Amino acid sequence: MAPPDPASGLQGPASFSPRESRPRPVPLEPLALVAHGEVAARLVQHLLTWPEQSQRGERCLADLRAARAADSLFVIAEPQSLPWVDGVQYLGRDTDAPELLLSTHVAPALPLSWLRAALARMASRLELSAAPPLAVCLEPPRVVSLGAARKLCREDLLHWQAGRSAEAVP
Amino acid sequence: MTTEQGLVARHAEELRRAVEDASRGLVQRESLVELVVLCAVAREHLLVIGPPGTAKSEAVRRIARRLGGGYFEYLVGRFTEPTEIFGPINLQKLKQGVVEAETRGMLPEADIAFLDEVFLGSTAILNTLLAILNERRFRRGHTDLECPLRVCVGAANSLPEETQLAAFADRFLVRQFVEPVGDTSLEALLEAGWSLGGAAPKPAPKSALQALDALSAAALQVDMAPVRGDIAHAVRLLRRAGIEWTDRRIVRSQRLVAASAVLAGRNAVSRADLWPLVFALPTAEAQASGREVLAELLSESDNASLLSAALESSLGARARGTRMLHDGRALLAARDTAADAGAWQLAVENLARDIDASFGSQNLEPELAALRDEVVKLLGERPADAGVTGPPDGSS
Repeated sequence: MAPPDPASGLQGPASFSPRESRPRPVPLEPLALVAHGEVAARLVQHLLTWPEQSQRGERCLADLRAARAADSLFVIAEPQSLPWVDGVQYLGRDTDAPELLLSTHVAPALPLSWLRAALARMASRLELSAAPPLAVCLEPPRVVSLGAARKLCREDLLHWQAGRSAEAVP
Repeated sequence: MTTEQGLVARHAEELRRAVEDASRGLVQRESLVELVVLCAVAREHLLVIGPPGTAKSEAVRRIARRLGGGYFEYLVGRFTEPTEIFGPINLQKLKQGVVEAETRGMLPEADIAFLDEVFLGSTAILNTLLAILNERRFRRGHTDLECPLRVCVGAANSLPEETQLAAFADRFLVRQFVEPVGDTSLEALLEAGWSLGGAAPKPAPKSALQALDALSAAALQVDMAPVRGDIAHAVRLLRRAGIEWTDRRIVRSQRLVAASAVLAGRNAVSRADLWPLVFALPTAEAQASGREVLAELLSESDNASLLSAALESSLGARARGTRMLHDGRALLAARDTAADAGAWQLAVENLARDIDASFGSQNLEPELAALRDEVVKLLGERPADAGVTGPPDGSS
């Protein structure tokens, strides 16, 4: 099985930068996470210790859906099933923009209605998929459609890991 | 710290320990225990709405036992006689033409009372109860008794719709809506139910009820001026969102705010004490909307004695941080005694996830940053995180 297609991601141009942010008075419930670069590699390594299927209700890969874009790995799951490694960023759903997955602990400083409109325009202009949910990362600035995220399996993780190793070879 | 502040802090610590003892072994009922104490200090009453079999009475029984004093509990039915709750008529005195109730061991002499299915009571019961709740006086025939009642907890499956009963229900300032324990806590529920069985908290030291009374007195002395504008602002925000509550509830909610301050060990109120306003909203829907409408105002909410209730009410980052510190320290301290090392490791990983999801890994308060550092170090010992260079163990 091939890994999730990185081209399904809607990656924003460099000019799109919702970096200005403020702490949320009420953190969002985590429903997804994103890991970049080395953090993603450690996340993959950690997930490879998880069983494929749950035998007695423990966490398992089948509870997770994933998508990748460039060197970032996005994982969607119920809050209690989301893994942790140092450096991952958690994303959740703000009721004012339910189609977006935003940082759980900081909110973009600009109004969410503006952000939604800007993303819609950008997707239309670049003729890219904007199938919800759209994950919005502040650091590094990146917008990725997770509409095509699919169930994670061991094979995908190994494929990802092998791909990274190959890229590292000069 | 003045002597007065020191006393408030000492009494608050006494009640914090009482809450902790009473909550041990209860799953997702910690805030119910805490609200009983909040109401007792505020001299207000608590209404618990939820299906049968959700440990409502157990939670109240535990904190009542831990606080000490007289406890009265009764399951009210349509055919319950007033004498079953307020005490039988003294027949000897009746022969002499004197109507007097024998109140020993009954509700009029209780310090804490729990009335299950309270709205099923007859008009006679509810009218008598109304006087006890409002004035803390019991009057029947020639009996006119001052009641020591600190708090009455009423329980029901749902809020009453009849106007008369709704008026009676309005006397319960604080409302909590409970649901059966959620899927994610079923293991904890089964474990607690099995290992603790009927274990009750240790009997109350005399000082617990004394501490409660001292904090009640201190709460009445609190200057509400620093938060009066904030409370008025909260009411305006709620009204603008279509959430109406009676003037009586608005005024009396100040008692809860003052009680929150003294239970946090302070004799001055601040925005950290506004969280009980949500519990004074009359319906589950109003409370849910109120949390959202007041999110910004309640973001500073915090209370070291009432961790769960402050968090449940405000969902704010500060209350969340205090709760994480408390639970995280207890979790790390249990490392060597954990029966299931795998489950302990998973709980530590969940703690790391909750810290990062709530605050990120940067800009944490120093205490929380120290806890996170310890958690990261522990999880760094996981085989999977030892490095990323080797091939994954096992086959696909």
